[in-house]
Parts: sequence; C-alpha cells; structure tokens
Amino acid sequence: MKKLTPTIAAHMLFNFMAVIALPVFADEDSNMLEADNKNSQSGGYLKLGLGYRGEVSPYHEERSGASFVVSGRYQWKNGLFIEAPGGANQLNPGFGFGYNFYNTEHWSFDVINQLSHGGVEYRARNRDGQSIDFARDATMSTGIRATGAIDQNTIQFTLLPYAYDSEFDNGLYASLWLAKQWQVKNWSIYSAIGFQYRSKELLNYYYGVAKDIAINGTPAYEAGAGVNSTIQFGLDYPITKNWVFESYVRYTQIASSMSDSPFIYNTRKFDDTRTKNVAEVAILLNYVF
Amino acid sequence: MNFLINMFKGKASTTKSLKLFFVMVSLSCTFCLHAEPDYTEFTLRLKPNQCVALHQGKDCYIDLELTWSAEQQGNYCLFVSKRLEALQCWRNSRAGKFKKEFVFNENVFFTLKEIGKDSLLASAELEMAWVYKKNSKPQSSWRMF
Repeated sequence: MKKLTPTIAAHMLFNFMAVIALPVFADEDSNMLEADNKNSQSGGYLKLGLGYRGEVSPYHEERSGASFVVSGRYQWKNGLFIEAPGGANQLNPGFGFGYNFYNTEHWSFDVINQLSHGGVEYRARNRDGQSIDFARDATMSTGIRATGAIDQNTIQFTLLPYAYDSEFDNGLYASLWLAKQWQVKNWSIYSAIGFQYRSKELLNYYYGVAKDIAINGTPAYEAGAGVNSTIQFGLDYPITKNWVFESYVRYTQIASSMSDSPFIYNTRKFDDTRTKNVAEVAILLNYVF
Repeated sequence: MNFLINMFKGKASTTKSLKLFFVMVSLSCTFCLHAEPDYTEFTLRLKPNQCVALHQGKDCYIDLELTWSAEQQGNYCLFVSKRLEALQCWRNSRAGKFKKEFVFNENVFFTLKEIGKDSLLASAELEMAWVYKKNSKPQSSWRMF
C-alpha cells in the first residue's frame, strides 16, 4: 500500500494535467492555437561526444582521460518526449521522459519523470569484525517542469513531489537553473547557476545511517534536507552542421547534510582522490545527428 | 496535339500550320534568349559557400572570399541580396576579388551586374546551415534539461 500511494498520486497528477490541458486548448481562440503550433517542440537530436573529461567527486575515485559522452532528446508531435542528458547537459540527474503539455512564445511546460537521486552503495568492515552493507537504487520521481527562454536568458524550474519508491514518502526534489548566453562570432558562450533541493525524507533514505545498521566507525546519522549549488561555464563552436566543439567546467557544492554523512565521510577517508564537492571539466568534439 | 495532327491533313492547311509552328518556335526561342542571360561568359565563386550557426535563425558570421571573371573587359559591380548599393565595383576589368566578413541569418545571393544595367551576369548563393533546429529543445542556446 505504501508503494502504491506515490505511484497512484503520480498517475493522478499526470492525468489531471492532461485533462486540464485539453480544455485549455479547446477553449483558446484560433490565434492561441496557432501560437502553440508555432512553438511546437517536436523533433530532437542525438549528440555523441569524444574527448577529454576530468571529474572529482565524493561518489567515485578521480576520473580523468578520454571520455565518450552521449546526450539527446526527442519529442513526438503528440508532446511525449524522452531525454538522455550527458556532459554539459547533465544538470539534473539521469534519464527522463514526460509530456510537453503547453507552450507559449517564451515558456514550455512539461509533466516529467526523472531521477531525483542516483543509486548509492556502501560496504564496510571494521576492526571488530562488524560489517555494514548498504545499497539504495536510484529514485524516479514525477512532477512539473517549466522552462523559459527570454532573449539570451534561460530559466528552468522543476518540482518533483512524487517519488516512486516503496521505502519512503514525501520525497521532494526541486531545482532552479538560471543561464545566460552570449554569442561572440559563431562561438556560443554561457554561464549558469543552479540549485537542487532535496527533502529530508529523500536525503535520509540515501545518506542516513539507521541505528540498527550502525557500527563502530559508521555511526548512526540522520540526514536533513539540503541544497546542492552549481555553477557552470561553457562554450560551443559549430565546425560544420554536424560537428561541434564543446568545452565546459562545472562545480557543485554538495549539501552539508550529504557530505556530513558517515558514508561520504568514510569513503573520502579511505580514498584521497574523492573530494567533498563535485568538479568537472571537459573538452569534447561532438557529432550531432 | 490537334495542331500537329492538322499539319498532315492537307497541303494548304499544312503550309499554314508549318508557318505558325515556325513562328511559335522562333518566338519561344527569342523569349528564351531574352529571359535568361548567358552565364557562360561570367563566373562568380564563393568561398566558403555555407555558413554554419549553432542554432537555426541565429546570426552567422563568415569571412567570405568572392571571385568573379568575365570573358570581356567591362565595368562590373558586385551586389548582395536585400541591399541596394554595390559591395564593390570594378572598371575596365575582366576579373576581381572581394573579401569581407558578413553576418547573415538566412540564405543570400551574391550577383554580378554591369554598371548601369539591371540584368544579372552571374550569381552565387550562400547557404545557411545550423546544428540545432529552431523548434527543437533546447529552444535557447544554452542546453538545459
């Protein structure tokens, strides 16, 4: 029953949005319908990138070297879409899909399903012979996303109140991204800042250490809500209509409720290439289909 | 088709029809010659002939080199579409070169004309190309999702 609650709620939300979207289109005058058609988001792209990528993070050992990056998006005429963010596009975690239900000249509104947190694993054994084996799968969540593009500025707000997970309720994820782009000759240069909020329930599921599994060295811990803050700079240059040179640098300050977790603290203690926060730099040559 | 059948029906009508046929052919050829200038005497080349922007509709910057040549010496001017004044004119020349950085967001034609005349002697098209279509997300230049 616990598992069904968020699932049913998510479906209700999706259906509710579809139901209210249809009368809106039906009641609008023909000009509004034409405006919506003009702003149709159907179509997409697939970008395959090869180049250098370096990343330091608390989640894995330092990575540096040749890298293959895939990102893409496709939206059908009926509004359904899939997204596979990667590299510079990977501002929110993981693969997503949803329904683009309304567009205006500057705004686009979607019902979206995407990961609100990736999977984590933690295994440890102390000198007393006690061990802990902790693993959590990624959590898929459903909610609303609004994206505005005004001149060279972009703003995106995502609210995912429904998490598809049987282990916890009220896992809320919200993000806000602001970006500004400049064109210098045919170079596209951008800067962006972003904030990702995760509720206490969501973070405690991944970073909390329950008393019944706590051992010496990995004490009990209760994670609170937290905000990750990201800043990113990047540039793109179209070499041909299929080949694009791209470079970006990104820094994310991890919420203290995450970095203070014994899982993060201990993994950093035993692997000095792991860092408290996330930093990434890449220079890529992309082929865009 | 009836005209061709009538040609073989009788001598009188055949003669009349043949006259009409030759008049029509002559007229049509005359119109052809007047309607299309002879491009073979003139050449106009663009290098490169495509400008690539990241997004459809965005300004595209390009360093263009245009070269033209004519069989006969004359007074010629180089034009670009949607602009009345000439980019450059040459007097008593049979070849020329023009280099400049341009900014466009749609296809344009470059044309060679004789000074004081409107007829085109040669033309070349600069094609716009882009990586991301205008209607596909990300709508803005910054890709975000």
